[in-house]
Amino acid sequence: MNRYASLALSVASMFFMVMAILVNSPPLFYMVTAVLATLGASTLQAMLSVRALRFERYGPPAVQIGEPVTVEITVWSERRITRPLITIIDNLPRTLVAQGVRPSLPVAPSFDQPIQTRYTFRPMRRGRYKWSGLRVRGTDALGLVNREKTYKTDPIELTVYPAPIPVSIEINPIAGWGTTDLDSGRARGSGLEMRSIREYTPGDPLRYVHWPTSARSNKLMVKEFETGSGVFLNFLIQRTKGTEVGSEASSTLEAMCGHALYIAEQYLKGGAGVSFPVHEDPLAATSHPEARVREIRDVLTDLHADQEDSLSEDLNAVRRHLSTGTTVILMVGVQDAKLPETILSIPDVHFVCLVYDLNDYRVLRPGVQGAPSAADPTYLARLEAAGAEVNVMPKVEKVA
Amino acid sequence: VKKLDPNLGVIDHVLAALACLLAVYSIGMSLNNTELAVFFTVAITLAATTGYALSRLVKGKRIAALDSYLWAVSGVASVGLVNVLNGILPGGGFPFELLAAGILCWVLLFGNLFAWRDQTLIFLSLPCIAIFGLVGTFDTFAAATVLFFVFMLTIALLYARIHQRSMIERAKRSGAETLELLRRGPWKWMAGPEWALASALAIILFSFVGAPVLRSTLDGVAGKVSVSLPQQRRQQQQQQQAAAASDVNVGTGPAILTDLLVTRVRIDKPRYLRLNSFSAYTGGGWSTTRISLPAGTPLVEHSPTDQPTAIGPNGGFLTWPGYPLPPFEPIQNGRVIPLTLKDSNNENNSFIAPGPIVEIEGNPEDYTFLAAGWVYLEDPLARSAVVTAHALVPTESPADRKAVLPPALAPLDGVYRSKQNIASKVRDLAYRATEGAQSDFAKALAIKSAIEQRVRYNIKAPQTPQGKDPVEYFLFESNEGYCDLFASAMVLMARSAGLPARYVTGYIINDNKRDAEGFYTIRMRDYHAWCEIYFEGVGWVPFDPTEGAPSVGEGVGSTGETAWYRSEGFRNALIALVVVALLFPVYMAAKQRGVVVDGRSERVASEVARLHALFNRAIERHSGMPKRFSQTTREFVSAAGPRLGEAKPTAEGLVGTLEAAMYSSRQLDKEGLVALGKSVSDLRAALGRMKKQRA
Repeated sequence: MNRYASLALSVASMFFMVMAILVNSPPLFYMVTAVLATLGASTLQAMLSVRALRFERYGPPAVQIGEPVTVEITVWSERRITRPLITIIDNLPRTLVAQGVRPSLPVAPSFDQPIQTRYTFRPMRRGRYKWSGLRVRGTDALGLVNREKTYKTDPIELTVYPAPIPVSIEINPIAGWGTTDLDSGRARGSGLEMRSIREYTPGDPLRYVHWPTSARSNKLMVKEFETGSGVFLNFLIQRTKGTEVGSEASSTLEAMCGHALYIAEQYLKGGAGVSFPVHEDPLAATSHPEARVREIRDVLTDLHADQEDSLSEDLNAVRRHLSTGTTVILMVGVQDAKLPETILSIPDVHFVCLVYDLNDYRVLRPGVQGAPSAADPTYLARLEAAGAEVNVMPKVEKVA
Repeated sequence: VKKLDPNLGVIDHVLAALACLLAVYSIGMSLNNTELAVFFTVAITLAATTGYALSRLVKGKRIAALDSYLWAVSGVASVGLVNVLNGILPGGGFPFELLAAGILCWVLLFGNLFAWRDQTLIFLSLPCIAIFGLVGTFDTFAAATVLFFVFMLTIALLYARIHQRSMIERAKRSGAETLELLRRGPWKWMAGPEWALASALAIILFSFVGAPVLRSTLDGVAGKVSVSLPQQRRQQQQQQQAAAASDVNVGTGPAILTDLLVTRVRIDKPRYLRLNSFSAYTGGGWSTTRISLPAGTPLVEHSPTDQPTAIGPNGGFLTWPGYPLPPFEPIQNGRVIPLTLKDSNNENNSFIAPGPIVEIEGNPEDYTFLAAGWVYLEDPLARSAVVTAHALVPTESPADRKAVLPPALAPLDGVYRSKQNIASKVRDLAYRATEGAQSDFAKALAIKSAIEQRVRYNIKAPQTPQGKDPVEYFLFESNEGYCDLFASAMVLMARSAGLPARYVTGYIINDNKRDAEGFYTIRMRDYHAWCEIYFEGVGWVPFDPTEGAPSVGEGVGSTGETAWYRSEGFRNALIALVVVALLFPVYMAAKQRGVVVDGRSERVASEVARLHALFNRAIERHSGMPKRFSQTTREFVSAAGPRLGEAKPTAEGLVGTLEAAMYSSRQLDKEGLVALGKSVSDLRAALGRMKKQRA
């Protein structure tokens, strides 16, 4: 609101000046110089307030979607001058969807001691972000004039992992089958049974430490278990360009990633194997459940709907990795015409289609109104006819 | 400013109300309508009080957000009901052409009633500024400038408080917990009252010095538009002028005259320019005696139809056909001088001149020549009019002449020598003053001198008490007064001494500077009164006893009743302050640079800190590595060492010296400080050379 007052003063000074010249009125000359001097002093103060500053910025390297991020900024004046309060605006990248951005605390920089300010926000979209530089906004003591100056700073990086989105769906994976050593072991009931002992690696739960062996070998050894179920899930997420529908913070792809992470976590806890054959090298996957969750989180973080290949083409590309008896979870939003045929062409694999109704999301992005939703009953019928187990996923309002 | 006040409080309401009061008071006074000024002053005070009470009632409630809407509605109502509202105002309200000012005043009144939040309060200043713009345009209220400065300071304080609250609000939104923590932490080094004070001082100084400079710079192009004064004011002025033409009171108290332009005149040198003359002293003032001359006397006033049309030697038409000099004031061996007026903004119907006008350019029907050499204007001169006339001025000294009226004025001899209404003490004083004077001129000078020695010039002299003779009171009781009393005393004493004298009002040229075209500027403050005594063959000779009188406050002999802040002394003081204000930053900069080292420990510590900062900056620039807060200087130099090349040993050595200077218990002496400064300078120079070589 002080800006409007400043505008009014500027207009008044111009009016006074014109009138003073026209009528040669001494009081108007005094008034115009007073107003001009006020604006000049304010401008000078505002300019001085943003000059000769140095900054250092710290922030967490990684967070999950929706978690608060606090960025701390240390400011230091390079001149021995007192200044009015300044505010700092970080150069957050445009692709970083942030909610609840709290303004930074206004500060008065000091010459001989660093002053700290901070701001917080909640990132609402997965990704790896890197930015540098920041803007400083200074005003005079009256708040009449704003001046901004951009400063270079060291770059800062932030990784935003997806947040698991709980979902209650019925998946009936085929159990007791498998091609790998892990999966093809005999089914031994529902419990987990120890298969071998190996050396401890960071991330292993301490409760699995095998103390007698550790004592003998003078190294920490942990028990390794065999899955009791033999369940193996392969996730394929639709990532074709133009298939992501919805707002940046609440899109079909964000919902898919959140659901995938949640389902994967649940099954990993149950001893199942989880793979994202299109998005990672299946052979490089860690067997340790918690480490595996972190890997999956990384994979999902880097997932973007920017590929030319359709979901059916992705499925075709990885079909040789799909062992008999495994379950493939297909997450699909936009109709892929060849998908039912592709499913039909792959025998002995259980397909579960998690379908996202575009109507739940597309209102926010009118540009893709024309994309046919996979939740169309006809298309669902085709998927079911191809042998897939179909689940229409509930609308996700918020990804975190 | 340092005191953090998160809540809108009584101070803010007082500041806003004060700003509004200054504006409405100024517009009322500029219209010469005291009743109007007082009405709005009282009404806005009441509205502000009520508004504050209402703001306390609605604080924190949703209804508080309605204040701006209520104000807007009342503002619209002020426009719609302007005639009704204007009708209830005292003093006749606002004149028709200034109804907009009336609306603004009502808007301010309602604003004070409904301003409950910062967002609304801050906008009260806008109508105020508009009102001050009108006041400044009319320039009829001399104190308006000072009030505007007070207004600016008031709204600056208000803006600062509102801005501070917005910062506190932002701090709260960013998660700041308490103001005390802010005050001790991130806001500890905030620019405080010293900035505000310095800014305010600089602004006022700049304005006082800059405005005249700006104005004189634009003098050639400014003033192209004539502003018609508001009707009410003009009517009053015209009434005053009409009254002044026939009757004028003296000793009525201080008069504040403004800088309003009256006219510009081109004349050979600064002279007394007559506007009106008065012959009869009434005991409280002056009036003009109208007499009938004997039959057959050609010296009667001529009506416009009788105007002569003969062309004079200078191209204008003559006052009297075939007779270039008005017979009322025959001046022997006089000199005819040209006199050109332009940019006339006065509303007088008399043509100002230093002597009888003998020739004038233009349309004869626009002028009426009066027998005494005055020219009566049918209409006041238009702003765009440039009129040249020729006036007759004496060349001979009156020193050896007798103060005797010419035969043509013989019928008026009794008037100009009349002792009617002259107090006996005044007459006695005149007799004593002129004792021993050998000539009439010597008598006149003796009287002038007696007055100058007896009384002081004081523009703030109080009004003559009711029932007392103003001249007697001036000469024997108050012993101070202004030009009208000086002139009246001189006339009465001259008459007491048998000299024909009259009371004259007009203008004198105080500002001796001519513009590029040779014009002097005459303003309202140049309005003056003086005495004229008739000397045979020389005509009416002006005597101004204010010339040699000591003054109180104002300059000696000053004739314009100008405000204190326009005085020479005040301006000199301001210039001195400006010089000090300009030198102060230079001194502070020199002090900060270490030129001024007074040996005190904090100065040494400060200088060491400065050298330390310079050292770090030099390393940073050369190495391209910023020093982190977590790094000590030694760690920083160590990290940057590979990039320093041959300067590395010097830099490392200097680190030790700096650490010792900053942290050891033994304070660096002056020589050590100088040596350290030189070392840092040498290092910077060495790094600079290396950089050039590298380039």
